[in-house]
Amino acid sequence: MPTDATSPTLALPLARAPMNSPRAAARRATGLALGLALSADGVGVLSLAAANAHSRIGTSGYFLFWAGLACILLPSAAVLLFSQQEKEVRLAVALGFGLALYLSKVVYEPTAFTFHDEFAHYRNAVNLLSSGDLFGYNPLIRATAYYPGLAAATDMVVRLTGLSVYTCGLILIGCARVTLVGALFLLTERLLGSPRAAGIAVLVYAANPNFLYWDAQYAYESLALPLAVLAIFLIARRKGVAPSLPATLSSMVVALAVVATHHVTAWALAILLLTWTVAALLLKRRNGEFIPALPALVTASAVVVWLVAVASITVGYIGPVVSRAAAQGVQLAIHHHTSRTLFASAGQTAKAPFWEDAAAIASSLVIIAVLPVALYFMRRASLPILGKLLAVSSLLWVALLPLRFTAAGQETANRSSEFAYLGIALCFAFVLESFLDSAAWQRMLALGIVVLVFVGGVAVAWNYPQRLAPDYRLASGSVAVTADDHALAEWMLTTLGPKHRVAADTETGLALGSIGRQDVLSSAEDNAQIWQIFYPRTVDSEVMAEIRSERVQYVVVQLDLLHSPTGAPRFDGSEPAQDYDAPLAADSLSKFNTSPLFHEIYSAGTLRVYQVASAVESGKP
Amino acid sequence: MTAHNTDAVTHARWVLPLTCSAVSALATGLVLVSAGPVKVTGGLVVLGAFVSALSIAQRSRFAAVAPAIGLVLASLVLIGLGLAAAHVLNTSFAALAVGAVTIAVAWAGSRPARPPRQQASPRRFHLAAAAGAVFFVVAAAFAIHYSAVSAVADSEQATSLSVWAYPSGGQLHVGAEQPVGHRATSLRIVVSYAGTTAATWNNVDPSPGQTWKAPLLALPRNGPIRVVARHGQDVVATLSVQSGPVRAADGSAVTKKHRHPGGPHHHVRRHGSRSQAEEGGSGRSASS
Repeated sequence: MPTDATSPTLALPLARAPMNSPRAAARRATGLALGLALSADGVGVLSLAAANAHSRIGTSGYFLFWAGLACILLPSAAVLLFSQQEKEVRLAVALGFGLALYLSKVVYEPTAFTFHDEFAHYRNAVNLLSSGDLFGYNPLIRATAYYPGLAAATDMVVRLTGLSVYTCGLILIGCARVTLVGALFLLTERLLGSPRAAGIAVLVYAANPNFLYWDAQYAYESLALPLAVLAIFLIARRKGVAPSLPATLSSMVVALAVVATHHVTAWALAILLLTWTVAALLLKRRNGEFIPALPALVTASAVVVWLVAVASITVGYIGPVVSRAAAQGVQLAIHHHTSRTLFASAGQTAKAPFWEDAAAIASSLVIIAVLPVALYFMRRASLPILGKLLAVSSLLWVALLPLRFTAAGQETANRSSEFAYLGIALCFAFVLESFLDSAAWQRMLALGIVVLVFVGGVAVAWNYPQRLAPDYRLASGSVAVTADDHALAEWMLTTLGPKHRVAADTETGLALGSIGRQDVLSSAEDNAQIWQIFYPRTVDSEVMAEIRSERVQYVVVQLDLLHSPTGAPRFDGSEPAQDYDAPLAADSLSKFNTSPLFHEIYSAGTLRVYQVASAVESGKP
Repeated sequence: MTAHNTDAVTHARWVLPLTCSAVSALATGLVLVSAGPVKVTGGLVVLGAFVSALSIAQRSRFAAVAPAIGLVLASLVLIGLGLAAAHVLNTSFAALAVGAVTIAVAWAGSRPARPPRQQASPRRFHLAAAAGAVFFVVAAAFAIHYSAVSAVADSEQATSLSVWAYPSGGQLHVGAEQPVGHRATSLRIVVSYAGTTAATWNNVDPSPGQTWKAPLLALPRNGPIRVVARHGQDVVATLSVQSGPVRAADGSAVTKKHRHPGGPHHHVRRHGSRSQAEEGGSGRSASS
């Protein structure tokens, strides 16, 4: 049976193909393309590891960082955009690309969790491991405890393998990354009917600012978002035909896992499925597409039940963030009042080079230019309803873009990227694919657009000074969780035991609340006002009142706070601006040394631990 | 279809689920009875068998791998939640549940394989593709190892000597720890009760990575207790200890129960209290 030279080429027949036949040539080209792309991914990861190693010893890893990303992006983009390879090869290249970018986060800190939310999720995992009970108290981000999907999966892998929580977390999030890239590729391929378009979609999606680090961290969204894309892929079909029963059931199982893992992702999934159902019902007579009523009803019901019966705390967690964003958005629209300067970070002095800011702005402009074109032509194309819905959802990114000029709204705008980019990726795939069959300059233009959007996304992905691993020997305990923080947390856990009430600054509190499993005070989680303990220059009645009302057992002092940058809270979010906008007085921290109500029991570097005297209990300070 | 092909189909229908079941059962057994590297291998093989069980029903197995991995993740979430809700989340139930689901999926997904095509050639990867994949894996492993060594060295050098003194069970616990990555430091530690020297240890020099612990001292009933650690003439730490039981500020015992306010109104996240990373990546506030 003759075989088309362009038929599935990952595994072409070898035995009967003469070495100089077109089939053999195609096979060699396939192997070389895939081999080179994967090798370049490996070189890129090595370069990123070297960049972080340089950064750890205080030298610049800037060039190596961008060189590493170039090694990962360019060969993969070349194969995905320009080659004639078929689906399997493109999928393999896309998976290698996605995994290599995930490894850029792994080599950032390959021995421990270091991102803020990772500490909170670590606490959830060890809570579940140590007690076996769901919804254990989490003083770092309390709402996360009510979405225990990640902790449950971690617990399962820890129990199956005996590996540490950290290692199992890396494995889980790595698998989630494979799922995300694979499901996105296959979903786009089904919706647009083109593996080449699917490859473009993966490249553009990877440009979303949260792809490189945020959604690679050990956190609930990093697991839930890939599962949500998978749930959609499982019931999406070319031309909107109905999926099989096993596919529908699988989709609902995955959706239920999403509901128990992350709030916003579950809500987004439910809204998409419901909208898809309504649109399919309205257009039923015209095109007779599959109506995903059952998955939509199951998912939406599960979301509502979970929110009401289990995680009502989420309303108080998300609500203020959204309402503040809305209020500042309205202010911006009516009074043209901006409360934030682009590319500026409070408490940070180091600035990214100008070209990065320019690339970020240029990439935004390109997206704004491409979306209307894509939406116009997609409206006329014979795409499934789901494809058109996802494309329209890209407008969410445009709508939220002005919020980047507001202090409270920029978080909402930033955090919507990973959802809105699903639609943006689909739009770019639809538009750019038409370039690839055209003149050489148009193909190069397509590559240039993809590269620009990717660079712009990376430029705003993470605060510039923290893009590479810190040099712990130089890192101030006021802005980073230090090695001494880790050592103290472990010491407290092993010698004093878990669940003591501890007052500490933000960074030290992260280590104590996760590794140390202490119940650190938190303004967000228990209304504590930690700043009232630390800012006064003497141990006055306000200090003691807060210590008594919060039943504080230990006060942890980080002396590096005396040199902390102004403009950002030091202890908790409820801090008055006039306090954190001024340098911290030395007396504010040394007062515990001179008061008989506090006993210093631990000293290491710039850290001091004070035990609150039992005399305080009787109210006789 | 020839008789030969029919046999092949029947064979293909049974062999994959059977293999998957056998591997899963064996690996589950390893998880249950072993520890260390053998358990690690067993656990990873169980999960690998689960992915295989979900993939074998698909015609395009390579394209099915990513969705299968996602389905395994979702299953781990739901199985873990189910076991935790039933208060049986432990190694035995976890392994048995995953093993059982793997076997069930393997058999449920089995179906007649397509008959082998006439004159079909063996399907092979191209050498360059395989070499690229191997290079990627090796480079990733080396990069992670290199980064880990670099991070550990940095962390060890950044850790400080720690000295502690705390009361527990009516006794005074005094200790010091010298982190790895530092030279040994010779300390002189003096304990005094109400101004009177109660104990002195000279030449306390814990080796790097080692912890030194003093013999336990009985706590006096009253009076200030001071512990001073010196390195030469430099005071490394001056600690003070409370005699008597340790209590929280509200008078409860040391292992008191912490507050768990019930309603969401107790846990409203205030402005600026969100994670630094949430604020726009990482750090104290956002970049655009």
